[in-house]
Formats: sequence, structure tokens, C-alpha cells
Amino acid sequence: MRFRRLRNAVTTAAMATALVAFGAWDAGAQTPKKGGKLRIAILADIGGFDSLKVPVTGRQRAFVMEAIHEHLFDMDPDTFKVVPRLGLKAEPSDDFKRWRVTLRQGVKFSNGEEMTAQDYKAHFDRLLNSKFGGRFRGRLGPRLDRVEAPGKYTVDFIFSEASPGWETIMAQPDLLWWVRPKSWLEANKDKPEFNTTTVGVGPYVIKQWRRGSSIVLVKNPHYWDKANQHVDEIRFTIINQQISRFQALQSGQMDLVWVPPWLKDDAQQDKRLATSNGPNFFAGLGVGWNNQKPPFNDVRVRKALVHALDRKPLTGVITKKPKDPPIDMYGRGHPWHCPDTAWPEYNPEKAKALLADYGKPVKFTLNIVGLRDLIRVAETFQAYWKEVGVEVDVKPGPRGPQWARAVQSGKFDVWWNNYGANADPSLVAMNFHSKSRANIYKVNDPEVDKAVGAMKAARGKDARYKASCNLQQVLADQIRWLGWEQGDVTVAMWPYVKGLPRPINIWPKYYRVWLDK
Amino acid sequence: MRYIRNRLLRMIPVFFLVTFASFALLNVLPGDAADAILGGVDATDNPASMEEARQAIREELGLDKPIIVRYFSWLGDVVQGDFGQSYVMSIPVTELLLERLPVSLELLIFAQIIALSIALPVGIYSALHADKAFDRGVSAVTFAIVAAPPFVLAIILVFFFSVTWQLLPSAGWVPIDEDLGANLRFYILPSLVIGILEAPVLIRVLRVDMIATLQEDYIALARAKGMSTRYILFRHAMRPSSFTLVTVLGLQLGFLISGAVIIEQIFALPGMGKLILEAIDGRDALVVQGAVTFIAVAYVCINLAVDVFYAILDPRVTVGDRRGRG
Repeated sequence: MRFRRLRNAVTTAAMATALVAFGAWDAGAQTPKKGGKLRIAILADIGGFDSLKVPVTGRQRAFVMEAIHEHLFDMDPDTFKVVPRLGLKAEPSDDFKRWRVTLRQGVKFSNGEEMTAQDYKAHFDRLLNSKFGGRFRGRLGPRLDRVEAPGKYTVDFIFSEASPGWETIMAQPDLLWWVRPKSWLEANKDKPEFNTTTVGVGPYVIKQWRRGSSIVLVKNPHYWDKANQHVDEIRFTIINQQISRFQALQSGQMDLVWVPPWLKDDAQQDKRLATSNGPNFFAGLGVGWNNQKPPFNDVRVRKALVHALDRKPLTGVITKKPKDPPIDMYGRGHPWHCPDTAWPEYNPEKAKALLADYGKPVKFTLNIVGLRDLIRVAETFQAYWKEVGVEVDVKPGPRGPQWARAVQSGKFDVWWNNYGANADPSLVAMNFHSKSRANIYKVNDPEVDKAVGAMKAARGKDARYKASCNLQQVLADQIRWLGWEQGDVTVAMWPYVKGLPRPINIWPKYYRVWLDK
Repeated sequence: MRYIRNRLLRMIPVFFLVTFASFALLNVLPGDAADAILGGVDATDNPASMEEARQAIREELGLDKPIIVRYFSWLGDVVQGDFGQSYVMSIPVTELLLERLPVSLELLIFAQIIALSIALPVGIYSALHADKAFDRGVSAVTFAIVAAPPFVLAIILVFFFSVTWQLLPSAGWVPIDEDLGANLRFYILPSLVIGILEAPVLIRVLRVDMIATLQEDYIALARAKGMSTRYILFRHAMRPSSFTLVTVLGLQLGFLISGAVIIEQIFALPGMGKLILEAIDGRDALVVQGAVTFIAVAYVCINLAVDVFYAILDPRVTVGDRRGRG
């Protein structure tokens, strides 16, 4: 009896101690420390701060700019719900052609000026009426016609067609959200240094830019959300080589780097480092083709090409860790993912039968960016297709803008494809409707148009999801595209880097971290 | 003076040839600065809008004009001292070159110091002990180093000094006026790589010249007079044995002033080599032209300096007339 009491007392005391200890540890882990310098390596220089001089969001440019500017809305990386930031609420008109955003009051730019709707109007007027206007208007889904400022804190986004997903799209990183004050724009736009500095409402402000070498940001003294502003300084070092960038992290020279898929294993195996991983809202990889050119204008050939591939092992060609291949354009873990979408199974015999039915030899050139790993993947595709009698020539080409332009201008019939922004189905739909100017797959199929139309007409989250999944199934039935791997995002850092929100695109929110050292 | 003037005059056709060739070559590559400015294309960008934007940029930058017109327009500006403005970065090319040049120069100086610090003692000692174990060992090592590509040594050094021991930074750069100590630390590994890779060639040429000099009659006479080996080496043998060394050094300096492209890339040093690479990648023709012009001039000047230095090494040499060399 006495022993039982003693045992109970000891157990209770141990539990109490553990709870207190856990509580203390938990509180410690959750209380961000202020101060310190965060060191990050990026791959290339930013080109400048003026979006008319550098009209691209760009991986590296956005890395820096996202800390200087802030979005109207943000996306919770765990629930994928849109949460207010500079915008308090967004209300669509009945036809979804107008979205009214109410701005947070009392927000100041880094130069001390108050942010108002006029700043948004001036910013969008400048971009949309520029020589790049066409590009900017259609950049975020349905064509943006203009931006108006009906009140001091009210901004209207007006579209040429319904834009039901605009609230989500507003939460995605893009140069259109890098707003600067109207008065500052007018005072500085003709100065030579206009492209070398900027003003924003984000947590950090540019202190120094050494072209080709480094960029230093410091705290914005006027930032509205000081509870989410921790480190004193962020220094970006420009290191062009991916491997050098990762080694700079391992050497302790950097605190945090974004890791490409082929270095993900190395990052996770280095026990000194911590990693954070999430689904990529911006990119998946696969093969794209011109659906109007023979032999891709015949569904039998397109189906045969999929039946010929054992897609799961293919996903592990680089990483040696096969995973389930993509079945839609969103990938697992994405809020718009449709888990029931069915794709043709691996069946070389079916592939051969379909090709025999087609009756003509199938031969084509797969254009690919000349990167060693991608060439390896393409050659594996080539080997699978050869097994069923399809002759494929893998042609590596120059990477960079020339490649992108070639894809975009329809120069290639078959190309290695980065299938782009997928935050909302309205973005994805643009690439498949026969009348869309962004129909890079050259699809001209009434069934696809009907599915896109139904998706555009759907209202409400559930109806849109159902229509979106239907579109994905139509695309899968017709094999209008072919996914290889749904990209994910990995960030590697030292364990003292705390508070990084789960990354859901290639621009992790590093500017929210704090340093526990 | 006449010699120097003639050398400078000879540079004019070199200048035309080099600058036009680089202009033409850049033109042959697919894409142009408009593509670079427009950057990567998202799937959501529509083709028609992109083409409109591209044409607008080409017109604004004058890229729609024939290459010969663009070349002479550039030439006209250059003779007035204006190298133009970077298409991609919208800043004067001269400013860009002046930003990047000191980085390459600093690397060049440190690398040469390291190369000479290795080459002089090893080359002389090998010559003194020709065909002995040390000399044979040095030969084997130097051949191995010469055969290895630069990045291999860079990777090895980074792996040990940065990743494993965390002693030195693996990549990046801090300007000298911001933090001298950090600046020097960033140069250690890249300078070591270049220095170690350059030393074997210097060792080989110094060794061969020194062996030949040590077989001269006046060296035998000096030995017969009882002079010490050290005195003979440094007072009588070193200068006449340095001609090839100086020539090779001159060529290497010329090469390095354009930036050790691979090393600058690996170690993320924002020097001339990295600038040229970025400019070619971005089809930034005016930056490439400016850099090529600068490098061509630097090459000629360095070789001119080497010729003048011959006369300092051996007063019997008349610059412009090597017949005097005894």
C-alpha cells in the first residue's frame, strides 16, 4: 500500500516536472528572439527594383522583393486558407468581374508615407499601361482590365471576364504586388537611380545592393506588423552555382538556402542541418506537346505514350526515391488536388496495340533544357518509348529565356515542360481553352472547352472544386499533357533558424524567421 | 618610344578584329537582350502579349537594326569615351567594369604571389638537384596538377577547408572597404586554387632555364672562384633564367585580368569573368563589348610591359631588337 502511494507520488511528481519542463521548453520555442543577422544565398542578381526595367517576377528577384513588399492577402501554408494582410477583406461582384478590397488603415511605407488605395491605382496604372501591359494584364489569370480607387482605403480590381479565384491569386507572390507610393513614384521615376532602390510596406528595406555580389536589407522602421519582424538584417549573397550555394550553408557561412530537388537528399542526410518541405504551388515538370500537330493530334498516340511509361519509377530517376506520379496539375497536398483522377496504367502491350491501330510510325524530337539531370530523365523516357517502337530524339537546348521563349512561341512540337502557376484552377484553365491566348498546348477540343467553361461558371468553393476535378479528368482522358513529377520545395537551414513557415512555393517566407543563438 | 608607339598602332586592327568578332558572335547566338529582359516565361503568359513586349524592347534598344549599323554606332560612342549602357541592368558599362575590375585584380595579385611563392623555391631547387629524387617527385606532382581541371582542386579545397573544417568561406565576397579581414578570407581559397594551378608551369620553365644557365661558362668560372651557391644563383643565374618565366607570367596575367571564369563562378567572386559570363548569358552586347575592349587593351599593355621588363632583366636587350641578347 505504502509502496503504491510512493509510486503514485513519484509518478505525479515526474509528470508535473515533465509538464513544467515541457511548458518552459514550449514557451521558449514559441517566443521569437529579436535581432541578429540572417544570411541567405541566392542564385543570381535581381536586375533591379523597377518592374518596367525588369518585367519579371523571377526566382531570385522575388526572393528579395517579397521581404520589401507585402501582399494584400496571404495563404496559410497549413490550412491553405486565405488570410488578411494589407487587405482586410475582398468582396467579389455577382459576376466576379470586380473585386473590392478594403485596405488596412494606418499602414506606412518605409519612407513614412501612409499606404492608400491611390498607391495601388498609380502602381497598376503604370504597369498595365506600359509596353508590357499585355503581359501584366493576363499574368494572374483572367485578364485584369484596370484598378480603381473608389475610396481612400478601397481598391477595385476590374476584369474583362469573371475571376472567381482572385482572392487566392492575390495571395501568390508576383511582381504585380510590389506596390510603391504614388508620390514617390512620381518624384523618382525619371531619376537614373530609380531602378536601384525602392520603397515598400514590407518588413525590410533595402540598405545596400552590390551588383553581382550581395544585397543587404534592414528592418523597415515603419512596418505595421512588428510582432512578425525579428532579425535586424538580412544579407543575400549571390552564388551562381547550386552546389556552391549548398556548400556555403554547410560551411556555416549561410543560415538558410533553398535546395533544388537533386540536393534534397544531401540536405536531409546532413545531420547538422534542419530542413522544411512543402508542396510547390508553382511548378510541376513533365512533357508538353502541340496537340494539333501529328502524331499528337491523335488520342491513340497520346494514350500509347502514357501506357508505355512506368511512371512511378520514372519519378526516382534523379532522387532514387520514386513517388506517386502526378495525376493532375496540382500534386498531392495541394488544396485543388483531385485524388480520384484516373490516368492510363503502365501497359506496354496496350501501347503497342494503340500504335498498331494508329498505323504510322511514331517519331519525334523531345526538346529539353541542356541540364545533366533533365537529360537523364528524358533519356529514360526515350528508353521506355523505344520499348514500344516509338523513336524519340532527345535534343538538349540552351537554358534561360531563349528556351522559355521557344516553348512559348510554339517553336517546339514536344518539349520538357514546367507546367506553371497552379494556385487556382483559373490559372491552369488558361492553358487549355481553344480561344485562350495562353493555350501553349494548342488544344482545340470542344470537350475541353466545355469543361473549362463549366469551371469558369462554377461559383463557390465546392462547385469550383468539382468542376476543376472534372476538367482534370477530361485532360487526363484526352492526355493533353503528361506529368513527370510534381515539384515540392525544400529549404535547408541550421537548427538555430526558427519560425520558418512551411514553404509552399519557391519563395519561402524567410523574412519571418528568428535566430535562436 | 618609337617601339611603344608602333606597338600601340598595331593594336588598332586587333581592336577592330576582336570587337567586331565578339559583336558578330554574340549576334549568332540564339535570342537577344529582349529575351533576357523578359526573362523566364510562365505558362500563364500569353504568346501574343509576350511577342508585343519583346518587339517593344527590341525597338527601344535598337536591336531591330542591322548588326553593322549597331556596331558602328557603338564604335562612334566608344571613340567619344562612351561605352554605352547595359541593356539588361540599365547602368553605364564603364561603371560596371570599374565595379568588377578590382575584384579580378585582387584575385590576380594574390594568385600570382602564391604561384611565385611556390614556383621560385621549388623551380630553383629542382634545377640545382636535377634528376634527383626531389626533382622527379616535383615533375610527377606538377604533371598531375597540370592535368587536373581547375574545378577539381576547388572542390577538394572547399570540401576540406569550408564544409568539413569550417575554416574558410566557400563562396562570396566582401569588399575591402567594408571588412579587410573578411575580404582576405574570401580570397584565400580561390587564390590558392589559381596559384597552385599556375605554379607547375612556372616551375617547369624556371627549372629548364635555370639548368641551362647553370651550365654556362661564367657560372663555372664563378664556382671556380669559390663563390657560394646561393650567391651564384641569385646574383648570376636568376636574372638570365627569368626570361621565359616573365613571358609566361605576362601571358597568365593577361588571362587572369579577364577573370578566371570558372574560379570566379565556383567561389562567387563578382569579377570580370563572372561579369562577362552573365553578360553573354543575358545577350548584353554592350557589356560584352566593353569588357572585350578592355581585355584586348590590357593584353597588349601587359605584353608591352613584359617586353620592357626584358631590358631591365638584361640590359643587353634592346626593346624592339632582341639581337642584342648575348
